[in-house]
Amino acid sequence: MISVEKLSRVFRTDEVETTALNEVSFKVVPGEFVAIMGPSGCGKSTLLNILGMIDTPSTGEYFFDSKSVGTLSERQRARLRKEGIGFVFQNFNLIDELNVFENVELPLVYLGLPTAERKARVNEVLEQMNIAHRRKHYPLQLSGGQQQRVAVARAVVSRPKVLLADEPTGNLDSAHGEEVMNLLEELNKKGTTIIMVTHSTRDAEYAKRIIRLFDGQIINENWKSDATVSI
Amino acid sequence: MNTVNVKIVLRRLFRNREYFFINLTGLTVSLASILLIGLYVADQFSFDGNIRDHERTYRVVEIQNQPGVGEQHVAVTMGPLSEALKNRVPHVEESVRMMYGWYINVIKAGEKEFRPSNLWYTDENMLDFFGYKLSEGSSKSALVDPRSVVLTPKTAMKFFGVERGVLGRTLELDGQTYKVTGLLEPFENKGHLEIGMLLSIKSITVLPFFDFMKQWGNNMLATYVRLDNQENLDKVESTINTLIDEQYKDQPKEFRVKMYLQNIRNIYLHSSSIKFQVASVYGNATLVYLFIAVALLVLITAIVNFINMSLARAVNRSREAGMRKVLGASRLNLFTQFFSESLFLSLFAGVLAIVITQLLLPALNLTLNTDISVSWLFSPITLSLLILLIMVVSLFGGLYPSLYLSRMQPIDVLKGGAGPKGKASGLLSRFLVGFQYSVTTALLIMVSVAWAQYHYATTVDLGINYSNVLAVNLPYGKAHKSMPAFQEAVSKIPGVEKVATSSGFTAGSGDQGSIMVDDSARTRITMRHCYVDPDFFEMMEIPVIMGRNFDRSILSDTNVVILNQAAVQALRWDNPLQQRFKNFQSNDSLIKMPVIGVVRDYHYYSLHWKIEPAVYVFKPKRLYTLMVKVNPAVASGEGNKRLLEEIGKAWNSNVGQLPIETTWVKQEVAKWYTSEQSMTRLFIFFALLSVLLSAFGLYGLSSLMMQQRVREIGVRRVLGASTYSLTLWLLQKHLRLVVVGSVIAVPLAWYFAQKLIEEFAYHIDLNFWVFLLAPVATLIIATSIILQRTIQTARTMPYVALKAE
Repeated sequence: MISVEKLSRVFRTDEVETTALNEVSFKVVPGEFVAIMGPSGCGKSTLLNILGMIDTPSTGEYFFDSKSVGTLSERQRARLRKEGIGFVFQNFNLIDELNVFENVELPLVYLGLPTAERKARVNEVLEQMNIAHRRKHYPLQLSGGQQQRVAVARAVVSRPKVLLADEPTGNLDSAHGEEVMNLLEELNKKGTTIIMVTHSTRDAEYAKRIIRLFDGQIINENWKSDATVSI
Repeated sequence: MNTVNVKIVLRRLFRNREYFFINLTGLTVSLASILLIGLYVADQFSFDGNIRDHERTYRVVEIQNQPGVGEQHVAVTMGPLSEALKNRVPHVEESVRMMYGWYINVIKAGEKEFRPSNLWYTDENMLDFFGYKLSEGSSKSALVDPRSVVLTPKTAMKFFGVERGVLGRTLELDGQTYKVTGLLEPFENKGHLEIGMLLSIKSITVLPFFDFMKQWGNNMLATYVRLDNQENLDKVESTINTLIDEQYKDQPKEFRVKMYLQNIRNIYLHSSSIKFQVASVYGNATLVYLFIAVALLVLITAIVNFINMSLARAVNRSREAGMRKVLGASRLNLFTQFFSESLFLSLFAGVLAIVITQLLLPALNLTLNTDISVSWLFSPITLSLLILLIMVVSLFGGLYPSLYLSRMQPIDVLKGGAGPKGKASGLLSRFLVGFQYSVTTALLIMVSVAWAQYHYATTVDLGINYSNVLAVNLPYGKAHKSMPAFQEAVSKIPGVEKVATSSGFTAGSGDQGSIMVDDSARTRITMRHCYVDPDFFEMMEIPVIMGRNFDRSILSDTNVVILNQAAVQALRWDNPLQQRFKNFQSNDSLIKMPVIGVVRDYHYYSLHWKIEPAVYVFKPKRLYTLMVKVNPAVASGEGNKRLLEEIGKAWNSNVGQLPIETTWVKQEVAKWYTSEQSMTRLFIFFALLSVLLSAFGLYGLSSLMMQQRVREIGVRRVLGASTYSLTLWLLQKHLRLVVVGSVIAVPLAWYFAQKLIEEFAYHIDLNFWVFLLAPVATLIIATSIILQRTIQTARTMPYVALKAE
């Protein structure tokens, strides 16, 4: 599914050179739920951005679905992203002018699906996220937990192979956080591959594998006991 | 895609009502201003557009440079010129003469008497030459026979009470019967010539009195020519001048003339420095260009506001843009999205602007004395230009922000580092704001100068007191018979303080000609001829500064002259009272005309013209204007009504049945400047509008900028900055732009202000203070706009500020 080899990302300013990622290599197989942990500045988000194809590595190889991402054009990458990856952010990043339904619909619009199919899919995913009764509401009229559920709905409505989540519970209280995590777990059980960046050990518990990053390097990988994955 | 676009556009506009309102108002007002000014400018450029073959039709203009008056361009030429041009100058296809019928006194239609107005004697080919069509009669033959007259529907209405079916009816002009042979179609387009009635020129050329029309010495009519091809203009002009040189070879050098051809389409706007254009209307190109400039400034201001606000808001929207990209939007998707917002706003403003223009058009017509029809507004040309304008506005207003936003990389946005700190957009924004300050300063300067000149023109001491003076014109030919009795009767009316007679209310007559000094050097000088009685100078408060006034008790005083100062200066005379002129009032060469006095210069024409040298003669036959100085108590209201009634009675019993025409001289004088005054007022209006729009835009912009600075301000406050120091710091950023803007504005404004006042021969001097105060005013405007927002922002509690991001 996903495979990175000796991935490095160096940020340069006039005077300083910062290595955010240093020759990171790992693989993620379909159906996995991986949590990436580590202290602030360890390179978690940089890694996630590269996996999400909204950033490019300085060196190293990134294979998505056996395709070498580095050899793709910007346009091809955007296409791959649009069809294959869903995003969930800490601060939800919903569009304030669009209501719940329209926010969730947006990726399908950009995929060019016909109206009827869009409607069916959005309604289905809203039901699934238990947020259908709020479909006419605007983001600012919702609680944080509800907003994040909408964001998750939006991330999965296009049925991506991989869901990337960046601190999905970071802005939520524990009850709402748990709600969202349960949702992700359920999605994973239904077959969605999830890669999640988090600070929270509790959230990380939901994952089947935890990758720990420190100063841009993987220092430790844990498989949970009931993991049934083989690499 | 599109449905989402429309929805999001509407919701966004609704959510950001304040900015929407500012942008919409700004755009609507500026588009409406441009429409109004555009219609007016189009109207001004449309003059004589319907003239047949106008691109190769010209008026002959003569350049004289005679001692006295100096160089002047005149639109009158000699009687034989037209024939000579047609027969002797190659490439001249046709020519036609237009002579104003100034000597006609009374027109009788049946029993009713009328005063003539806009009456022209003209050649038989005139209708065909200009392409005028007749609704009755034949344009080929209507003006062929002597004593033929062609009317306009309006004059037909005046004389006969009908607008058609007047062919074959008769009019009596000073006792001679003229037959109506044609009726002009109502003019679709205006021309510089005001035409009321056209008379065949053969009616007069056969009379002995008009022998001067066969001579080259007198300039009394306008000559128009049509060339076979406009490319031959230079050739034709040089041939004409060769021909004229030959005609004038016996004349002293300074009395020879040059001629050039002025295209008929240029006459209306470009003739303000040409003299002797009777019964013509003309506009002012400088003011029209000024209007165009102001319209452009208004447009640019609106666009700048638009760009500034969209840019400032783009920063707030970068998150949305980035998010959309993450979700799969292409650059084109995003560009369309943002651009459609700008397009929608402009379209909306365009529709509102049309409505406003339609509502304001009657007021514009009234103010500028124009006749622009609403149908112009809805003409395909206007509408397509408006659509073009809307496209331009939305392109400029929406293009950069749309490009900026669609270029947004998702990574930058999600990392939170995107936004206002983008160097290019900050620079552009600063440039645009600086530009607006610059425009504001320049316009404030222009407005002050225009207002000062306007004020000067209306209040300056003209050297003559027109207050409470009524003028009554007697028919030219009847004057010397009826005047004495009429004058006597009027002088006895209660409320009348003084009476005097003259040739016109400023004494200046239509005559300007050269006269010979009685000296050995055979000095000749061209002067304005003025006719007054001995009471005129005293009544009009014009001091005799040397010598004496005319005296009724001295019989020979009808053969003496008084000069104005300009004449004395032109002749370089130290002691004018010892000088004599050769007789120029009759053929008796034995009579000499000594100078008995000098009067102080006064403006007998508008401030546009230099005061010409003038010679005053007491010649009762030429005194056809009765000037009546009345007590201020009867200058208005009930007393005025009674006074006019009494004067009317005196008229009826002494002059006759002809309708009386009385005017307050002060109002007549004001008419010299009406077009300038109304245009100056409108110019000031639009200029201030532009300033207001700028202020409006700056208000919106500064609130947006403050919004974005909230965090920075919070941090500064946490670190201990006071409201005062923060306000100062925020203000400083703007004030620097004001200063830079002003430095650029001042020299430009100086240049244009100079152009503006140079339209007047007598004008104010540009005042240094204006150029200092205008930037200060801009500073004050800017400060007051920014201050309120700034203080509000500076006071923001730090925790609110820090939470904002």
